[in-house]
Amino acid sequence: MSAEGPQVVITGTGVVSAAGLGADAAWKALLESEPKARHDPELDRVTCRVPDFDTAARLGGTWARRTDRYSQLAFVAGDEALKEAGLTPGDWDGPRVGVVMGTAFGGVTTLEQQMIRHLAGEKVSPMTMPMFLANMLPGQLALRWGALGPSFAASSACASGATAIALGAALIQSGSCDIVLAGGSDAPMVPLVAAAFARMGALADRREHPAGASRPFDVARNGFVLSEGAGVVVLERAEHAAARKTRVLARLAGCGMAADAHHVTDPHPEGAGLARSIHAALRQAGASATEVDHVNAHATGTPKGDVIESRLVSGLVGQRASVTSNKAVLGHTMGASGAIEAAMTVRTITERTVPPTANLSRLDPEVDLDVVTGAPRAQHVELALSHSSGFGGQNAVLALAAP
Amino acid sequence: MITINSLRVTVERAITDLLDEPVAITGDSSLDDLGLDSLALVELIDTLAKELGRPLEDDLFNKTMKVDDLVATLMNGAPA
Repeated sequence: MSAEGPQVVITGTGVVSAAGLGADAAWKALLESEPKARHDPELDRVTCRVPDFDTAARLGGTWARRTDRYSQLAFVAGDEALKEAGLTPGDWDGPRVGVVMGTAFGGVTTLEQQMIRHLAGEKVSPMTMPMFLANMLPGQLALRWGALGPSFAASSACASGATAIALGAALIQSGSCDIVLAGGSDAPMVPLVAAAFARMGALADRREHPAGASRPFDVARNGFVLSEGAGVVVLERAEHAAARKTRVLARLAGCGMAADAHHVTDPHPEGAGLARSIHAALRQAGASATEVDHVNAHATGTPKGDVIESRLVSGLVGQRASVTSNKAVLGHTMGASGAIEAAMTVRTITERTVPPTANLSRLDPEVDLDVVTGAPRAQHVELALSHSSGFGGQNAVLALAAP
Repeated sequence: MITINSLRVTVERAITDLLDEPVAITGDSSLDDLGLDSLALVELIDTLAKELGRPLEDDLFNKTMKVDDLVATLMNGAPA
Protein backbone atom coordinates (compact mmCIF):
# COMPACT_ATOMS: atom_id res chain seq x y z
CA MET A 1 0.00 0.00 0.00
CA SER A 2 1.13 3.56 0.46
CA ALA A 3 4.52 4.40 1.82
CA GLU A 4 2.90 5.32 5.16
CA GLY A 5 2.64 1.80 6.48
CA PRO A 6 3.72 -1.75 5.84
CA GLN A 7 3.15 -3.05 2.32
CA VAL A 8 0.45 -5.69 2.08
CA VAL A 9 0.85 -8.59 -0.31
CA ILE A 10 -1.33 -11.52 -1.29
CA THR A 11 0.33 -14.91 -0.98
CA GLY A 12 -2.62 -17.26 -1.30
CA THR A 13 -6.10 -17.44 -2.75
CA GLY A 14 -8.94 -19.90 -2.36
CA VAL A 15 -12.30 -20.02 -4.09
CA VAL A 16 -15.39 -22.17 -3.85
CA SER A 17 -17.95 -21.41 -6.52
CA ALA A 18 -20.59 -22.90 -8.75
CA ALA A 19 -17.68 -23.97 -10.94
CA GLY A 20 -16.50 -26.29 -8.15
CA LEU A 21 -13.99 -26.39 -5.33
CA GLY A 22 -10.85 -24.40 -5.99
CA ALA A 23 -9.70 -21.22 -7.67
CA ASP A 24 -8.59 -23.25 -10.69
CA ALA A 25 -12.15 -24.41 -11.36
CA ALA A 26 -13.51 -20.86 -11.22
CA TRP A 27 -10.70 -19.51 -13.40
CA LYS A 28 -11.20 -22.26 -16.00
CA ALA A 29 -14.95 -21.60 -16.16
CA LEU A 30 -14.29 -17.89 -16.66
CA LEU A 31 -11.75 -18.48 -19.41
CA GLU A 32 -14.12 -20.87 -21.15
CA SER A 33 -17.10 -18.51 -20.73
CA GLU A 34 -19.11 -21.33 -19.23
CA PRO A 35 -22.02 -19.95 -17.22
CA LYS A 36 -23.02 -22.12 -14.27
CA ALA A 37 -26.60 -20.90 -13.94
CA ARG A 38 -29.23 -23.63 -14.02
CA HIS A 39 -32.89 -24.01 -13.32
CA ASP A 40 -33.12 -24.67 -9.58
CA PRO A 41 -36.04 -27.01 -8.88
CA GLU A 42 -35.89 -26.35 -5.14
CA LEU A 43 -36.32 -22.61 -5.54
CA ASP A 44 -38.04 -22.73 -8.94
CA ARG A 45 -35.69 -20.04 -10.21
CA VAL A 46 -32.44 -19.71 -12.08
CA THR A 47 -29.52 -19.99 -9.65
CA CYS A 48 -25.88 -21.05 -9.42
CA ARG A 49 -25.10 -23.66 -6.78
CA VAL A 50 -21.80 -25.05 -5.56
CA PRO A 51 -21.64 -28.76 -6.52
CA ASP A 52 -22.20 -31.14 -3.62
CA PHE A 53 -19.13 -32.31 -1.75
CA ASP A 54 -18.46 -34.54 1.22
CA THR A 55 -18.39 -32.02 4.05
CA ALA A 56 -17.54 -34.60 6.71
CA ALA A 57 -14.52 -35.83 4.72
CA ARG A 58 -13.35 -32.28 4.02
CA LEU A 59 -14.02 -30.66 7.37
CA GLY A 60 -14.39 -33.45 9.93
CA GLY A 61 -17.71 -34.73 11.25
CA THR A 62 -18.15 -32.25 14.08
CA TRP A 63 -17.42 -29.20 11.95
CA ALA A 64 -19.67 -30.52 9.20
CA ARG A 65 -22.54 -31.06 11.63
CA ARG A 66 -22.07 -27.86 13.58
CA THR A 67 -21.62 -25.30 10.82
CA ASP A 68 -23.90 -23.67 8.31
CA ARG A 69 -23.14 -24.06 4.63
CA TYR A 70 -21.77 -20.52 4.44
CA SER A 71 -19.09 -21.56 6.93
CA GLN A 72 -18.36 -24.82 5.19
CA LEU A 73 -17.70 -23.13 1.87
CA ALA A 74 -15.29 -20.72 3.54
CA PHE A 75 -13.46 -23.51 5.34
CA VAL A 76 -12.68 -25.12 2.00
CA ALA A 77 -11.66 -21.83 0.36
CA GLY A 78 -9.56 -20.91 3.37
CA ASP A 79 -7.72 -24.23 3.43
CA GLU A 80 -6.87 -23.74 -0.25
CA ALA A 81 -5.59 -20.21 0.35
CA LEU A 82 -3.39 -21.33 3.23
CA LYS A 83 -2.00 -24.19 1.16
CA GLU A 84 -1.09 -21.90 -1.71
CA ALA A 85 0.58 -19.51 0.73
CA GLY A 86 2.58 -22.39 2.20
CA LEU A 87 1.22 -21.70 5.65
CA THR A 88 0.53 -24.39 8.22
CA PRO A 89 -1.86 -23.36 10.99
CA GLY A 90 -0.16 -23.74 14.30
CA ASP A 91 3.31 -23.13 12.89
CA TRP A 92 2.72 -19.41 12.97
CA ASP A 93 2.80 -16.76 15.67
CA GLY A 94 -0.91 -17.06 16.48
CA PRO A 95 -1.50 -13.66 18.07
CA ARG A 96 -0.13 -12.04 14.89
CA VAL A 97 -2.69 -13.81 12.67
CA GLY A 98 -6.12 -12.29 12.13
CA VAL A 99 -9.30 -13.47 10.44
CA VAL A 100 -11.77 -11.07 8.83
CA MET A 101 -14.66 -12.52 6.87
CA GLY A 102 -17.48 -10.79 5.08
CA THR A 103 -21.00 -12.08 4.74
CA ALA A 104 -24.30 -10.56 3.77
CA PHE A 105 -26.51 -13.31 5.15
CA GLY A 106 -24.58 -15.32 7.73
CA GLY A 107 -26.15 -18.71 8.36
CA VAL A 108 -29.49 -17.92 6.78
CA THR A 109 -30.05 -21.56 5.77
CA THR A 110 -29.86 -22.59 9.40
CA LEU A 111 -32.05 -19.70 10.45
CA GLU A 112 -34.78 -20.60 7.98
CA GLN A 113 -34.69 -24.31 8.86
CA GLN A 114 -34.89 -23.62 12.56
CA MET A 115 -37.59 -21.01 12.12
CA ILE A 116 -39.72 -23.63 10.38
CA ARG A 117 -39.17 -26.02 13.31
CA HIS A 118 -39.96 -23.33 15.85
CA LEU A 119 -43.17 -22.32 14.12
CA ALA A 120 -44.19 -26.00 13.98
CA GLY A 121 -43.82 -26.22 17.76
CA GLU A 122 -40.64 -28.31 17.62
CA LYS A 123 -37.46 -27.73 19.60
CA VAL A 124 -34.79 -25.75 17.76
CA SER A 125 -31.24 -27.01 17.49
CA PRO A 126 -28.85 -25.91 20.24
CA MET A 127 -26.49 -25.06 17.38
CA THR A 128 -28.83 -22.47 15.91
CA MET A 129 -26.94 -19.45 17.23
CA PRO A 130 -23.40 -20.69 16.57
CA MET A 131 -24.42 -21.67 13.05
CA PHE A 132 -26.40 -18.57 12.20
CA LEU A 133 -24.60 -15.54 13.61
CA ALA A 134 -22.54 -13.56 11.12
CA ASN A 135 -19.52 -13.36 13.43
CA MET A 136 -19.32 -17.11 13.85
CA LEU A 137 -17.51 -17.79 10.59
CA PRO A 138 -14.35 -15.82 11.50
CA GLY A 139 -14.66 -17.26 15.01
CA GLN A 140 -14.84 -20.80 13.67
CA LEU A 141 -11.92 -20.22 11.31
CA ALA A 142 -9.82 -18.74 14.11
CA LEU A 143 -10.60 -21.80 16.22
CA ARG A 144 -9.91 -24.21 13.37
CA TRP A 145 -6.61 -22.58 12.44
CA GLY A 146 -5.36 -21.33 15.79
CA ALA A 147 -5.42 -17.72 14.63
CA LEU A 148 -5.29 -15.73 17.84
CA GLY A 149 -5.25 -12.16 16.53
CA PRO A 150 -8.26 -9.96 15.75
CA SER A 151 -11.21 -11.93 14.41
CA PHE A 152 -14.44 -10.36 13.26
CA ALA A 153 -17.04 -10.19 10.50
CA ALA A 154 -17.69 -7.43 8.02
CA SER A 155 -21.14 -6.96 6.57
CA SER A 156 -21.85 -4.53 3.75
CA ALA A 157 -24.17 -6.68 1.63
CA CYS A 158 -22.54 -7.45 -1.71
CA ALA A 159 -19.45 -5.45 -0.81
CA SER A 160 -18.80 -7.59 2.29
CA GLY A 161 -15.96 -9.66 0.87
CA ALA A 162 -14.04 -6.68 -0.43
CA THR A 163 -14.74 -4.78 2.78
CA ALA A 164 -13.31 -7.66 4.79
CA ILE A 165 -10.15 -7.66 2.66
CA ALA A 166 -9.78 -3.89 3.10
CA LEU A 167 -10.19 -4.18 6.86
CA GLY A 168 -7.78 -7.10 6.94
CA ALA A 169 -5.20 -5.00 5.13
CA ALA A 170 -5.73 -2.23 7.67
CA LEU A 171 -4.86 -4.67 10.46
CA ILE A 172 -1.51 -5.29 8.79
CA GLN A 173 -0.94 -1.62 8.07
CA SER A 174 -1.66 -0.70 11.67
CA GLY A 175 0.96 -3.17 12.84
CA SER A 176 -1.56 -5.45 14.56
CA CYS A 177 -0.98 -8.48 12.35
CA ASP A 178 1.58 -10.11 10.08
CA ILE A 179 -1.00 -12.33 8.39
CA VAL A 180 -4.73 -11.90 7.90
CA LEU A 181 -7.02 -14.47 6.33
CA ALA A 182 -9.69 -12.34 4.72
CA GLY A 183 -12.55 -12.88 2.37
CA GLY A 184 -16.25 -13.49 2.13
CA SER A 185 -18.80 -16.26 2.07
CA ASP A 186 -22.51 -16.59 1.50
CA ALA A 187 -24.91 -19.47 0.91
CA PRO A 188 -28.30 -17.79 0.67
CA MET A 189 -30.01 -20.50 -1.39
CA VAL A 190 -33.23 -20.59 0.59
CA PRO A 191 -36.80 -19.83 -0.46
CA LEU A 192 -37.11 -16.72 1.69
CA VAL A 193 -34.06 -14.99 0.19
CA ALA A 194 -34.99 -15.94 -3.37
CA ALA A 195 -38.56 -14.75 -2.87
CA ALA A 196 -37.41 -11.49 -1.32
CA PHE A 197 -35.03 -10.66 -4.17
CA ALA A 198 -37.67 -11.65 -6.71
CA ARG A 199 -40.19 -9.38 -5.05
CA MET A 200 -37.75 -6.51 -5.51
CA GLY A 201 -37.44 -7.33 -9.19
CA ALA A 202 -33.70 -7.91 -8.78
CA LEU A 203 -33.41 -11.45 -10.21
CA ALA A 204 -32.76 -12.35 -13.82
CA ASP A 205 -35.77 -14.09 -15.24
CA ARG A 206 -34.79 -16.31 -18.17
CA ARG A 207 -36.10 -19.72 -17.30
CA GLU A 208 -36.10 -20.78 -20.95
CA HIS A 209 -32.32 -20.28 -21.12
CA PRO A 210 -30.84 -20.36 -17.59
CA ALA A 211 -27.20 -20.32 -18.73
CA GLY A 212 -27.85 -17.01 -20.47
CA ALA A 213 -29.69 -15.42 -17.55
CA SER A 214 -26.84 -13.35 -16.12
CA ARG A 215 -25.78 -10.79 -18.76
CA PRO A 216 -23.59 -8.01 -17.37
CA PHE A 217 -23.34 -5.02 -19.73
CA ASP A 218 -25.58 -6.71 -22.30
CA VAL A 219 -28.46 -4.67 -23.65
CA ALA A 220 -30.88 -7.47 -22.75
CA ARG A 221 -29.82 -7.89 -19.11
CA ASN A 222 -32.62 -7.97 -16.57
CA GLY A 223 -31.15 -8.79 -13.19
CA PHE A 224 -28.66 -10.96 -11.35
CA VAL A 225 -28.56 -14.71 -10.73
CA LEU A 226 -28.58 -15.74 -7.09
CA SER A 227 -25.49 -17.73 -6.26
CA GLU A 228 -23.35 -19.05 -3.42
CA GLY A 229 -19.65 -19.34 -2.81
CA ALA A 230 -16.63 -18.27 -0.82
CA GLY A 231 -13.35 -16.54 -1.47
CA VAL A 232 -10.40 -16.20 0.88
CA VAL A 233 -7.08 -14.46 0.37
CA VAL A 234 -3.98 -14.60 2.52
CA LEU A 235 -2.89 -11.04 3.23
CA GLU A 236 0.62 -10.74 4.52
CA ARG A 237 3.02 -8.04 5.58
CA ALA A 238 5.47 -7.86 2.68
CA GLU A 239 8.53 -8.26 4.90
CA HIS A 240 6.94 -11.27 6.57
CA ALA A 241 6.30 -12.92 3.20
CA ALA A 242 9.84 -12.10 2.06
CA ALA A 243 11.29 -13.64 5.20
CA ARG A 244 9.37 -16.84 4.47
CA LYS A 245 10.62 -16.75 0.89
CA THR A 246 7.09 -17.42 -0.28
CA ARG A 247 5.74 -16.42 -3.68
CA VAL A 248 3.96 -13.08 -3.77
CA LEU A 249 1.00 -13.27 -6.14
CA ALA A 250 0.09 -9.60 -6.06
CA ARG A 251 0.30 -6.48 -3.97
CA LEU A 252 -2.81 -5.08 -2.37
CA ALA A 253 -1.76 -1.58 -3.27
CA GLY A 254 -4.77 0.27 -1.94
CA CYS A 255 -8.30 0.00 -0.64
CA GLY A 256 -11.16 2.45 -0.60
CA MET A 257 -14.58 2.36 1.01
CA ALA A 258 -17.37 4.89 0.86
CA ALA A 259 -21.13 5.19 1.19
CA ASP A 260 -23.61 6.54 -1.33
CA ALA A 261 -25.95 7.72 1.46
CA HIS A 262 -28.53 8.05 -1.28
CA HIS A 263 -31.11 5.24 -1.11
CA VAL A 264 -31.53 1.97 0.76
CA THR A 265 -31.14 -0.16 -2.35
CA ASP A 266 -30.62 2.02 -5.43
CA PRO A 267 -27.07 3.06 -6.25
CA HIS A 268 -26.33 6.76 -6.44
CA PRO A 269 -27.16 7.88 -10.01
CA GLU A 270 -23.56 8.96 -10.56
CA GLY A 271 -22.02 6.22 -8.46
CA ALA A 272 -20.77 8.77 -5.97
CA GLY A 273 -19.80 6.27 -3.27
CA LEU A 274 -18.11 3.97 -5.75
CA ALA A 275 -16.24 6.95 -7.21
CA ARG A 276 -14.96 7.99 -3.80
CA SER A 277 -13.94 4.40 -3.13
CA ILE A 278 -11.97 4.25 -6.37
CA HIS A 279 -10.21 7.54 -5.66
CA ALA A 280 -9.39 6.45 -2.11
CA ALA A 281 -7.94 3.16 -3.31
CA LEU A 282 -5.86 4.91 -5.98
CA ARG A 283 -4.70 7.52 -3.51
CA GLN A 284 -3.55 4.84 -1.10
CA ALA A 285 -1.82 3.06 -3.97
CA GLY A 286 -0.08 6.28 -4.92
CA ALA A 287 -1.47 5.90 -8.42
CA SER A 288 -3.70 7.83 -10.79
CA ALA A 289 -6.62 6.59 -12.86
CA THR A 290 -4.46 6.76 -15.97
CA GLU A 291 -2.35 3.93 -14.57
CA VAL A 292 -5.28 1.50 -14.24
CA ASP A 293 -4.93 -1.32 -16.77
CA HIS A 294 -7.89 -3.43 -15.84
CA VAL A 295 -11.19 -3.31 -13.94
CA ASN A 296 -13.00 -6.31 -12.54
CA ALA A 297 -16.40 -4.65 -12.41
CA HIS A 298 -19.13 -5.22 -9.88
CA ALA A 299 -21.55 -5.44 -12.87
CA THR A 300 -24.26 -7.79 -11.64
CA GLY A 301 -26.45 -7.54 -14.73
CA THR A 302 -29.08 -5.20 -13.34
CA PRO A 303 -30.34 -2.59 -15.82
CA LYS A 304 -29.51 0.38 -13.62
CA GLY A 305 -26.36 -0.67 -11.78
CA ASP A 306 -24.29 -1.69 -14.79
CA VAL A 307 -24.84 1.62 -16.57
CA ILE A 308 -24.03 3.71 -13.52
CA GLU A 309 -20.80 1.79 -12.95
CA SER A 310 -19.86 1.90 -16.63
CA ARG A 311 -20.36 5.67 -16.89
CA LEU A 312 -18.18 6.15 -13.86
CA VAL A 313 -15.43 3.85 -15.10
CA SER A 314 -15.60 5.33 -18.58
CA GLY A 315 -15.11 8.80 -17.13
CA LEU A 316 -12.06 7.65 -15.21
CA VAL A 317 -10.25 5.30 -17.56
CA GLY A 318 -12.06 5.64 -20.87
CA GLN A 319 -11.11 2.80 -23.20
CA ARG A 320 -7.61 2.49 -21.75
CA ALA A 321 -8.44 -0.26 -19.26
CA SER A 322 -9.89 -3.67 -20.06
CA VAL A 323 -13.07 -4.46 -18.16
CA THR A 324 -14.66 -7.77 -17.23
CA SER A 325 -17.41 -9.13 -15.03
CA ASN A 326 -17.26 -12.58 -13.49
CA LYS A 327 -20.95 -12.73 -12.63
CA ALA A 328 -22.24 -14.08 -15.95
CA VAL A 329 -20.36 -17.30 -15.20
CA LEU A 330 -20.41 -17.56 -11.40
CA GLY A 331 -23.63 -15.71 -10.62
CA HIS A 332 -23.85 -13.18 -7.86
CA THR A 333 -22.36 -14.71 -4.74
CA MET A 334 -23.41 -11.77 -2.58
CA GLY A 335 -20.98 -11.18 0.29
CA ALA A 336 -18.50 -13.58 -1.29
CA SER A 337 -18.39 -11.83 -4.65
CA GLY A 338 -15.82 -9.17 -3.74
CA ALA A 339 -13.44 -11.80 -2.40
CA ILE A 340 -13.91 -14.24 -5.26
CA GLU A 341 -13.42 -11.44 -7.78
CA ALA A 342 -10.32 -10.24 -5.93
CA ALA A 343 -8.93 -13.76 -6.23
CA MET A 344 -9.78 -13.84 -9.94
CA THR A 345 -8.18 -10.42 -10.42
CA VAL A 346 -5.05 -11.78 -8.79
CA ARG A 347 -5.20 -14.58 -11.37
CA THR A 348 -5.48 -12.01 -14.14
CA ILE A 349 -2.26 -10.46 -12.86
CA THR A 350 -0.36 -13.72 -12.40
CA GLU A 351 -1.61 -15.32 -15.63
CA ARG A 352 -1.47 -12.12 -17.67
CA THR A 353 -4.90 -12.94 -18.97
CA VAL A 354 -8.26 -11.20 -18.75
CA PRO A 355 -11.23 -13.57 -18.80
CA PRO A 356 -14.10 -12.53 -21.04
CA THR A 357 -17.52 -11.39 -19.86
CA ALA A 358 -19.82 -14.25 -20.83
CA ASN A 359 -23.29 -13.78 -22.29
CA LEU A 360 -22.37 -10.42 -23.74
CA SER A 361 -24.04 -10.65 -27.14
CA ARG A 362 -24.79 -7.00 -27.67
CA LEU A 363 -23.07 -4.34 -25.59
CA ASP A 364 -25.48 -1.81 -24.14
CA PRO A 365 -24.89 1.35 -26.22
CA GLU A 366 -24.71 3.28 -22.96
CA VAL A 367 -21.67 1.24 -21.90
CA ASP A 368 -18.63 2.98 -23.35
CA LEU A 369 -15.96 0.62 -22.10
CA ASP A 370 -13.45 -1.88 -23.42
CA VAL A 371 -15.36 -4.89 -22.12
CA VAL A 372 -13.53 -8.12 -22.92
CA THR A 373 -15.86 -10.55 -24.67
CA GLY A 374 -15.67 -13.78 -26.62
CA ALA A 375 -12.22 -15.08 -25.77
CA PRO A 376 -9.68 -14.44 -23.02
CA ARG A 377 -7.34 -11.56 -23.75
CA ALA A 378 -3.63 -11.70 -23.10
CA GLN A 379 -2.67 -8.62 -21.14
CA HIS A 380 0.06 -7.72 -18.74
CA VAL A 381 -1.75 -5.96 -15.92
CA GLU A 382 0.28 -3.75 -13.60
CA LEU A 383 -2.64 -2.18 -11.75
CA ALA A 384 -6.20 -3.47 -11.53
CA LEU A 385 -9.28 -2.38 -9.65
CA SER A 386 -11.87 -4.78 -8.25
CA HIS A 387 -15.20 -3.08 -7.54
CA SER A 388 -17.92 -4.07 -5.10
CA SER A 389 -21.16 -2.32 -4.24
CA GLY A 390 -23.96 -3.39 -1.93
CA PHE A 391 -27.49 -2.60 -0.92
CA GLY A 392 -27.29 0.11 1.65
CA GLY A 393 -25.10 2.16 -0.68
CA GLN A 394 -21.90 0.58 0.60
CA ASN A 395 -18.94 0.36 -1.76
CA ALA A 396 -15.47 -1.12 -1.54
CA VAL A 397 -12.68 -1.04 -4.11
CA LEU A 398 -9.43 -2.97 -4.06
CA ALA A 399 -6.40 -1.83 -6.05
CA LEU A 400 -4.34 -4.88 -6.91
CA ALA A 401 -0.90 -4.56 -8.45
CA ALA A 402 1.68 -6.84 -9.96
CA PRO A 403 4.36 -7.71 -7.38
CA MET B 1 -40.27 -53.69 24.61
CA ILE B 2 -37.02 -51.85 25.06
CA THR B 3 -34.33 -53.66 27.05
CA ILE B 4 -31.50 -52.12 28.99
CA ASN B 5 -29.02 -53.65 26.56
CA SER B 6 -30.72 -52.24 23.48
CA LEU B 7 -31.01 -48.88 25.22
CA ARG B 8 -27.28 -48.94 26.00
CA VAL B 9 -26.51 -49.66 22.36
CA THR B 10 -28.70 -46.74 21.31
CA VAL B 11 -27.01 -44.39 23.80
CA GLU B 12 -23.50 -45.46 22.81
CA ARG B 13 -24.27 -45.00 19.12
CA ALA B 14 -25.74 -41.56 19.76
CA ILE B 15 -22.64 -40.52 21.72
CA THR B 16 -20.29 -41.94 19.10
CA ASP B 17 -22.09 -40.01 16.35
CA LEU B 18 -21.36 -36.78 18.20
CA LEU B 19 -17.61 -37.39 18.37
CA ASP B 20 -15.01 -37.04 15.62
CA GLU B 21 -12.76 -39.74 17.00
CA PRO B 22 -13.86 -43.19 18.19
CA VAL B 23 -13.60 -43.56 21.96
CA ALA B 24 -14.04 -46.47 24.31
CA ILE B 25 -17.33 -45.95 26.11
CA THR B 26 -17.75 -47.65 29.47
CA GLY B 27 -20.50 -47.42 32.02
CA ASP B 28 -18.16 -45.42 34.25
CA SER B 29 -17.37 -42.81 31.60
CA SER B 30 -18.83 -39.41 32.34
CA LEU B 31 -20.21 -37.41 29.44
CA ASP B 32 -17.50 -34.83 30.14
CA ASP B 33 -14.80 -37.50 29.98
CA LEU B 34 -16.13 -38.55 26.59
CA GLY B 35 -15.68 -35.02 25.26
CA LEU B 36 -19.29 -33.86 25.08
CA ASP B 37 -19.58 -30.13 25.59
CA SER B 38 -22.72 -28.36 26.76
CA LEU B 39 -24.06 -28.00 23.22
CA ALA B 40 -23.41 -31.65 22.48
CA LEU B 41 -25.42 -32.61 25.58
CA VAL B 42 -28.46 -30.89 24.10
CA GLU B 43 -27.77 -32.51 20.74
CA LEU B 44 -27.62 -35.89 22.54
CA ILE B 45 -30.98 -35.24 24.17
CA ASP B 46 -32.50 -34.35 20.78
CA THR B 47 -31.07 -37.50 19.20
CA LEU B 48 -32.26 -39.80 21.97
CA ALA B 49 -35.71 -38.18 22.07
CA LYS B 50 -36.03 -38.97 18.38
CA GLU B 51 -34.72 -42.51 18.79
CA LEU B 52 -36.98 -43.27 21.75
CA GLY B 53 -39.97 -41.50 20.28
CA ARG B 54 -40.73 -39.47 23.37
CA PRO B 55 -39.86 -35.98 24.57
CA LEU B 56 -36.94 -35.56 26.93
CA GLU B 57 -36.32 -32.57 29.16
CA ASP B 58 -33.38 -30.37 28.16
CA ASP B 59 -31.87 -30.67 31.64
CA LEU B 60 -32.23 -34.43 31.90
CA PHE B 61 -28.46 -34.95 31.61
CA ASN B 62 -25.42 -33.15 32.93
CA LYS B 63 -21.77 -33.41 32.02
CA THR B 64 -20.76 -35.28 35.18
CA MET B 65 -23.36 -37.98 34.59
CA LYS B 66 -21.95 -41.43 33.87
CA VAL B 67 -23.18 -43.50 30.96
CA ASP B 68 -24.69 -46.10 33.34
CA ASP B 69 -26.66 -43.38 35.12
CA LEU B 70 -27.84 -41.95 31.82
CA VAL B 71 -29.07 -45.35 30.64
CA ALA B 72 -30.80 -45.95 33.96
CA THR B 73 -32.48 -42.55 33.81
CA LEU B 74 -33.80 -43.26 30.37
CA MET B 75 -34.81 -46.79 31.29
CA ASN B 76 -36.88 -45.56 34.21
CA GLY B 77 -38.83 -43.31 31.91
CA ALA B 78 -38.78 -45.51 28.82
CA PRO B 79 -42.09 -46.35 27.22
CA ALA B 80 -43.29 -49.91 27.74
